[in-house]
Amino acid sequence: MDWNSVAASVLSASFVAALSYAYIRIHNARFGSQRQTRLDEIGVLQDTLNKARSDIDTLRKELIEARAQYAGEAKAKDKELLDLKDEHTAVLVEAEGFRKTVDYLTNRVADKDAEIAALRHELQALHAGGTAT
Amino acid sequence: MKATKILLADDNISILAKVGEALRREGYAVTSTNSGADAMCLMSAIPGPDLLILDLLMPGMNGHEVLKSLGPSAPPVIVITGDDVTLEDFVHAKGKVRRVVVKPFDFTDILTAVRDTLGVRLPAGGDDRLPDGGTTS
Repeated sequence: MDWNSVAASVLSASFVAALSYAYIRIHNARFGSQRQTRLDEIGVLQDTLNKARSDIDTLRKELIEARAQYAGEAKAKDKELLDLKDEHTAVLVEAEGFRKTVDYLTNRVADKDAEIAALRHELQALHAGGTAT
Repeated sequence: MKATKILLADDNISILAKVGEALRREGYAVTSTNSGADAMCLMSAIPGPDLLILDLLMPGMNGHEVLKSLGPSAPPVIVITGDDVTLEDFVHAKGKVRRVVVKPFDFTDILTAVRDTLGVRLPAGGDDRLPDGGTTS
């Protein structure tokens, strides 16, 4: 092996090493950049996810409160409706009592009218008899 | 003839007053209470009522609890309620519930239920009295 060959081999090896080094540096830089981009994206997604979780918790609390409020309102309305039915019943029963009283008194008045008419008739007959004699 | 005794249990004062008054006009002896617990006490009296008219929704001991507590010697029961229920809903009450009258009802409804439950036994007194309980001259 002569010196020229040795020099050529060394130069060739150095060139390949330099090329490999450069390739690795470039690759690392590129990969590192992509990795950072991905990490940033993951961070953004985690923030979004955390916000979504927080929103869900807030909505869940609001839903529980709304359900409780609705249940309370529905219960109050049910009670109000039952109270109204009670009052309605009391009014119906009382009205029927009034109606019976009115019917009774109407019948009594009719009876008295009939009595008066009969007495008047009798009186007229007596008057007529007295005049005749 | 002794008047038929009716125990009327309802938490609404107007119902107690108006229905009680109307039943008295028909000749029944009516005792009123606005609580289930008092109704149970009054039923344990001797002699007890011939009929119980029972509201379901009452504070404290409600009508359902009264029905569960009724013993074998308890009188027949007419349930009065604003809920949408039927007689079939009371099969657990061992036949004690004879009628269900849903509010709002008029007096004819409850009087018919009372007479049906008591076997058309007419109350003491006649129908020739003034409907408001007054007297005539």
